[in-house]
Amino acid sequence: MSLQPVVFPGRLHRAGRRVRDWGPAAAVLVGGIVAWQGLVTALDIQRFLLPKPTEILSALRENWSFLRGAGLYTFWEAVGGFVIGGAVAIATALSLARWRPLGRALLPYAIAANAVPIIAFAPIFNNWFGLINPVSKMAIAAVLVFFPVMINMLRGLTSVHPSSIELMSSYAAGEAATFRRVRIPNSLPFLFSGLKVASVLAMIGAVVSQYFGGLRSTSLGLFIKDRAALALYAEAWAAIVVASTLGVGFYLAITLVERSVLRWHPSMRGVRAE
Amino acid sequence: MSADPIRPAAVSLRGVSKRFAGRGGEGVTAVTSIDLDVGPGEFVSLIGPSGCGKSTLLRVIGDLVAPTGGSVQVNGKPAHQARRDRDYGIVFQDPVLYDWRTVARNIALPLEMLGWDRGRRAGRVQEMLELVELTGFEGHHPWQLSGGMQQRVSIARALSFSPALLLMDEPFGALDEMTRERLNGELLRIWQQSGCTVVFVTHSISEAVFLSTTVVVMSARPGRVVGIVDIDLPQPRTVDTREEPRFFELVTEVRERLRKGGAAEALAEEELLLVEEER
Amino acid sequence: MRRFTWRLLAVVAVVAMVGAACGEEGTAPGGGELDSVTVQLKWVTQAQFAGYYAALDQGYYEDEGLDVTILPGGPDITPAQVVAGGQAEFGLDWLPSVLAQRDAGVDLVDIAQVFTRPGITEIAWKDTGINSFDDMAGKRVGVWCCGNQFPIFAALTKEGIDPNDPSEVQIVDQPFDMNLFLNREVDAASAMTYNELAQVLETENPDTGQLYQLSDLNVIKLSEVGTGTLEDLVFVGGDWIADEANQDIARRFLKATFQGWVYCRDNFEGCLDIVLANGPILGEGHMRWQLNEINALIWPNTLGIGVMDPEQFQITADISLDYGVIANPASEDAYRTDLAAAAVQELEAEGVDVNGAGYQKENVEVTPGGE
Repeated sequence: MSLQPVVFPGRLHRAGRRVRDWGPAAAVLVGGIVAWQGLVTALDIQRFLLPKPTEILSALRENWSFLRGAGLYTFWEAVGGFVIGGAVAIATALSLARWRPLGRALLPYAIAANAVPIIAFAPIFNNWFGLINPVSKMAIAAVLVFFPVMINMLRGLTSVHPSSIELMSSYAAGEAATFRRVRIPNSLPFLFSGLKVASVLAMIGAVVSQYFGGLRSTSLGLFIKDRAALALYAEAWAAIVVASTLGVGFYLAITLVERSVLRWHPSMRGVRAE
Repeated sequence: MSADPIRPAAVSLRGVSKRFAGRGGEGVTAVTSIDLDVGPGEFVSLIGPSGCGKSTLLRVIGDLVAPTGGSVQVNGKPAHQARRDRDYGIVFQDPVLYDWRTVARNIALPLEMLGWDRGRRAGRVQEMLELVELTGFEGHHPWQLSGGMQQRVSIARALSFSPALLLMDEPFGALDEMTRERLNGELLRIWQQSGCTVVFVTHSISEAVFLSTTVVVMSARPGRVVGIVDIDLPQPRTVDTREEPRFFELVTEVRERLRKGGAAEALAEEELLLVEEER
Repeated sequence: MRRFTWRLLAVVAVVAMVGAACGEEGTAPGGGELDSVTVQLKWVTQAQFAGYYAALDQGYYEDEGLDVTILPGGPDITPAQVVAGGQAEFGLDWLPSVLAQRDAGVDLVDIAQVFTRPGITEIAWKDTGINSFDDMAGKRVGVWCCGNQFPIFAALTKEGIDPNDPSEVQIVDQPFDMNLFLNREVDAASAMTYNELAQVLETENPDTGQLYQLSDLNVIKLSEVGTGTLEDLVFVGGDWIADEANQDIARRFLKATFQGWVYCRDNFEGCLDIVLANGPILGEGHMRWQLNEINALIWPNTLGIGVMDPEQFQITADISLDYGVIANPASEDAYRTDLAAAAVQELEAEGVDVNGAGYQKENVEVTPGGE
């Protein structure tokens, strides 16, 4: 039985793989924009239904100083919400996994809380923390972040092979050691799944939370709502593009962190030896 | 192995029974009235039909399951004390290696828990890798290895802290026939080098006979000991051992005991396997 | 099996669409004469729209051969979008917003200017010392979004304060409750005389244990500042109203609507009951205050209810252009008076008082929480 050493791809190979990974998505983006421009022009679609990409681009340029400032501010609200929601979610998942009876008691309420729509609790948070205080927006984003992170991490903490627990028992390991050495490392891929979902939700939460009031000069969400109401759709779309780009950027940042933390994970790289 | 020679453990069960409570009051008696002695340094296989409780019994010895009745002595102590003193290593059918640790760090896990320092751990890991013939793979991750290799790492881990007793629950059950036979041979070598006692649970009559000094035959559920067969084949056992007439006699004897224990259906499966081996 | 399921779904979808389309034309079964139309309100059900509910309740629409569906609005509903999207024939909005939509290429036409004068104010606590817009430099000023901010922006610009520059004034987008004013998170807040002002007065002052009083507040009326713009009006889609048959429908709609408003002027309690029967969110006390204030925005008037005063239109149009609400000057095609004038003439011929010259406000006592 011959054992071939595992081959890790060289630089050229990696570059080629990167093109293969991202090429199709980039092609769809470019093709989509070109098709959009073409269709709207050819079919003469009304501006208030769907503006042309070129119009959106000029709206982006005209409003750039506002969009950049409000975009970054909104992004920080999203990050704040992500950190708060994520921290609470991780702490909750750890507690629920550690003390199972507590989990059985509290999980139904966590699920119910998750079902409350944003338009219900957003005004309440605005009242509690202050409409102008960015913390109120972070809190709203945090609520959206909480559930996916918590439930994924909980799953990761508890979906440990029973033999693994028996193994730790055979080492006379206590709960704490089992958590540290087995459950927590096991939960990391699950946690990152949750965090990736949450990064996008945090951005959405930050933007939508601004629909319910706040300082105009820093509200990307309000800008979208306002411009749409005035039928200035090119400007609304420009703001949407900014929000989406920031959301995607956030997602990619988390993916990069995941790649380095989960270097060992089978999905990251590697070929089996036989 | 450079470690101090270990004093292999003896295992002694008296009147052990285990009943699992079911939902709605209907329980299942896995094993009942088990009396068993395993001498120090022996290699004892537990064999029986599916559901006969052999895995449960193994876990009772390891204090991973508390018996409903009876007593268990391991290495001269009650089972729970033996577990706390880490007197045994255990290998499951699933290698249960941690993906986030390299092979070396997987093997080192129990050593970390025992508080060994880095240098001492590294030295022992090298020894264990040599023992299971996986030198050079210390930096690999488990999913980069084949099933057979993973199981060897699992064995290395189980023996890394030189336990007096090795418990094995169908460790080669998930592997193909050829790998299995080869690993059987390697296990015997490792056993002789390490000098520990082994309690080995298996489904396979030929494996039990090949590996053991004694084969304990269990009945169908509720499991009882229905036969103890001393395997007087010479050591060290080799590939040729499987072709000796005495080997087949012993296999037949074990099969007879199994049949008497009410293992008719499971036996049909065994016979198929045996027929294929004979071909 | 799979193909069958897809075909079944396709059939169901087609049937549903046909059914929906059939519902639109609104011919009553058995060949009835009523024309089905929908009116999209600017906000949720409340006394601000009493005239429409009264017209429905008193059968005025039916008398004009109309089957009217009233769609309440809300925070996320923009009437212009609803009408432009074809879900309603009539919409209610404020004039600057209509002009802005037109400027952006949406073809809407104001066919009746129902409210003669604006009800928007900016209020501040007396103890802040804010009496006028030039006191607001460097302060936190609350405005609503989506077209309702223009009178205030215009007022600030008039005083040399740029509302888009956070260093000159911090504009805060207000939600549709007055908590941030009550919490003093803003120094001044927008308030309609008929709504948010009442909400403040209906709140208990924690210091005194009594309700807040008008004397606690500085109420700055945008109409007095000169940047008040015309508010509640009825608009329609430009292409829809081009059709003569629809013009007839519109005239009939306006006539019945105006009758409804007259009813509300002359039968305060009766009108209030109709509003309450339609399930407004806020309580009776609040609706009472509101109906009173609304009447004061319509009555008295000189040209007849709903007939646009071209001078007033021009003021709103100029303000909208000057303060950046619209990029191009508003054309007079933005409104038409013929339909409203015809409706008013018909009513006058029937002896209805369309001017309310002798109108007097009721005395309304504020109730806690608007109950």
